[in-house]
Amino acid sequence: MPDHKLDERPTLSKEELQALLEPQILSLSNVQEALSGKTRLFKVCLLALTAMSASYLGMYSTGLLDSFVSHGWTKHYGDYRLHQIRFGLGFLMLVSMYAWILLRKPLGTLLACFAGVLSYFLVSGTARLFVVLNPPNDTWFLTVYVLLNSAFVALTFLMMREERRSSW
Amino acid sequence: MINAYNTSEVILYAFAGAVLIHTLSVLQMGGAEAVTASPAAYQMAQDLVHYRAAITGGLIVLYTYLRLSKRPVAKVLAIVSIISWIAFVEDYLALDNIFFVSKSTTGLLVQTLRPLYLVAIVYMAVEAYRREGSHA
Repeated sequence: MPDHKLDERPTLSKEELQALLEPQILSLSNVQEALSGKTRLFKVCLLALTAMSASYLGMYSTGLLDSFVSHGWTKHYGDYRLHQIRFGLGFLMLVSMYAWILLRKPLGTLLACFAGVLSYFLVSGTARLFVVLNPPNDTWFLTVYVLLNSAFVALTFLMMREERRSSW
Repeated sequence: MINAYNTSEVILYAFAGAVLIHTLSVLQMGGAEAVTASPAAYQMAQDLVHYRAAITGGLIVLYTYLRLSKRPVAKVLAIVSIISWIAFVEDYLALDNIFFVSKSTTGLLVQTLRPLYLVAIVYMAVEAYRREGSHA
């Protein structure tokens, strides 16, 4: 190969080299950048899920939900602890989803796991309320509970579908 | 060939079998009321045992089907492992091990196999991701 051809070989700039050497796990992007590769429906679902989760968690933290969850009906300590754990997990799921989005990691498995966990919460929670409440008299409450929790599961499934259509 | 994945699979099926036998034996003894430490907790235990067993059992059946039909299993294993760990945390922190039955051999077997199962299921999920990732 002639010498001048070797001289023309492209070299990496300092910034490019630094970007390549930077560990992937630490490369956080901003939300707008991270969501730019997602579909419009994905963004809508994410917004709805965030708003619903935040208001749900906020209401729980302020004690507004206390009389509506099963602990409010049974006064059993086990129920109270279960709610604490489940709301804590809900918060953790929301935070980890945003962390994964910002890290631009594939969300398929994470969302599948969340859908599984939320379905478990829905089934076991409804079963518990069926025992605690009197279903013929409290139909409206059970319906709202099931619809609200099903909305979380449905939004997660929709996001899973949209994730496959997104560019990253 | 015996490898760590197959051993973990044996632990998973042994645990699932122990849970099934224990659930049936508890029902024979007269339901959760007969086995829980606190009378107030028995109904809660009864609800959780049935629905949790149904969800985890259904997912293990799905895993078996996918495994036999040679389809990807990593995602199902990840879901099973996360639900199993959450169930464990709930039992440990909220229910004070109310499922523990010192007199029942099946209960003792379930409690003994549980930590092994929790480690095995996580290992299986990680290993399945590694295998499926390298095949892809």
